[in-house]
Amino acid sequence: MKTAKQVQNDYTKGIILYALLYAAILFASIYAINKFNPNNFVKIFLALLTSLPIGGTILVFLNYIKNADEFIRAQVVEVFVKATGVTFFIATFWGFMENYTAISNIDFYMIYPIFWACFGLMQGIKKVRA
Amino acid sequence: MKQVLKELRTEIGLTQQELGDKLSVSRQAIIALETGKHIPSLDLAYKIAALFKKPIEEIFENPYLP
Repeated sequence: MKTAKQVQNDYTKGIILYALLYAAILFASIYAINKFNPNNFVKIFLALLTSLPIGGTILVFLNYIKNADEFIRAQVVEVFVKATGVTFFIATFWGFMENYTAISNIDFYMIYPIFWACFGLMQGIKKVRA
Repeated sequence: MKQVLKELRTEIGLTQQELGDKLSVSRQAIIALETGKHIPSLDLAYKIAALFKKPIEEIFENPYLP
């Protein structure tokens, strides 16, 4: 059985690994599209490839809550749900703002970094309130 | 209830980290248990009771008993 520290280390390493993978595929895809101007089929494949590491981060997160102790699990799940709620709110609010006003469009793929920003914010608020 | 766990831990000279390691939980979990911010699951309560060789209700107050 893993210690709490090992579980935390696995989580940190996993998140960093998939974040780096995401960045590497993103930059490689942008380079490939600019350099070779591939057909739409290749572009769809590159978009899919860039999105795959997001699934990896979710798997790392699920593994973390599976292996973490009950206290940490409860804390992290609460923060995750709050961050999801705030992200939904931001996305819905911004979507209506785009429809009702001349506010600039936010690309849909920004939802994931926005979610993690909300996650960090909710975690910070929880720590301050503890 | 919260003081009992802390007293038992200090009696046998364990730090919060060492108790956490013995129970396979984080130091944060021990802090939360000692300060009453986390109510343990039955499984964790059994583990703690077994470690200190005491009945659960000597360590954790049963709020449903009159």
